[in-house]
Amino acid sequence: MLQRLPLALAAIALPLALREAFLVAPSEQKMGVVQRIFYFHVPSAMMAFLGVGLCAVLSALYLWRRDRRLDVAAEAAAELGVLFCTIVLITGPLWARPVWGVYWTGEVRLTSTLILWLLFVGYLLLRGQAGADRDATARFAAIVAIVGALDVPIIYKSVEWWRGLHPKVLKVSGGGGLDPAMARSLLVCSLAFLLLFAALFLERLRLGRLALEVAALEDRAARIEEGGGAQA
Amino acid sequence: MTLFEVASILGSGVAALGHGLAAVQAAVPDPAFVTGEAAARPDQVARGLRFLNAAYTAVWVILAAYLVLISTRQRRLERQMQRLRQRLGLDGPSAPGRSSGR
Repeated sequence: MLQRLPLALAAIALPLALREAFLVAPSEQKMGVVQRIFYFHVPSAMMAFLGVGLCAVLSALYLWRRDRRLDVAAEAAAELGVLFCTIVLITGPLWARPVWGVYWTGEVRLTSTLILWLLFVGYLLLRGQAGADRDATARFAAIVAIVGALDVPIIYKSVEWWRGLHPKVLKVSGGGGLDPAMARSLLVCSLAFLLLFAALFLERLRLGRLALEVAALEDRAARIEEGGGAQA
Repeated sequence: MTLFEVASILGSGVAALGHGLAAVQAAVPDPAFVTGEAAARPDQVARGLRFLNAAYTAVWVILAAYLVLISTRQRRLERQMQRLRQRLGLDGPSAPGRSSGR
């Protein structure tokens, strides 16, 4: 029951987030109605960073402790990182087209976000291609995750290091920032997405544990069959 | 408390801290986005609404597709587990989907 609590809270919070984005948040003067994409685009980016960061931390812990449950949790976090990064990469161009006149440019934040997505899609493909040596695959995937997560600070600081088209929404230094009324709505939407992330992470962890149990049973069945074959 | 729960709580705590910092950072002068009614033509408003609609539809479609994917994988694993348990002769009074063979 307690495990389903984030799911129930997310189901309550998401309609509230929609209300904030469409009814409560004030209109933006220059961009107009299309700026409301912001209220799901930015929280999605935060959750993508959370997923990738969590994956890197759990991967580092896996390399230290060699506990397969940590590897399963890292994979779950990476999957959510890719999920929310996909949302960012789809909602971003849909926002950019009416404002910048193009769906995509070679701007640093956009490019580095695409690189992050490609890195973690690669990570998941690597996990999917796991051969007989599960431990070796898990070790290699953990290293890929830690190296891939180094892209997150680059994405975050890119608008400060390289001046591009992407606005400085969360102030990094010198200017930028957000109207307080918009910031309040962003906070509500971010909390709703955090609950959604927690709910999906717990569900995905349950799936990972189930996969571990199936793998253990498969190993056991294989050992029994090998034993039977040797006796015959 | 399991390691998974600790990791989950830690992740949530870090994210909550990030949101708090974002809220503090947001209250700065010279905002990137300025509130106020846009002086746009009706066709520009309609165009903006089309992109807004497409973006929010994409969010829900992606989330729904992921939930369907998780649910399909769970069903497949449960079937696989049941088959393995039958093969190993482990099917007893325990609840389906639970393994006693760990």
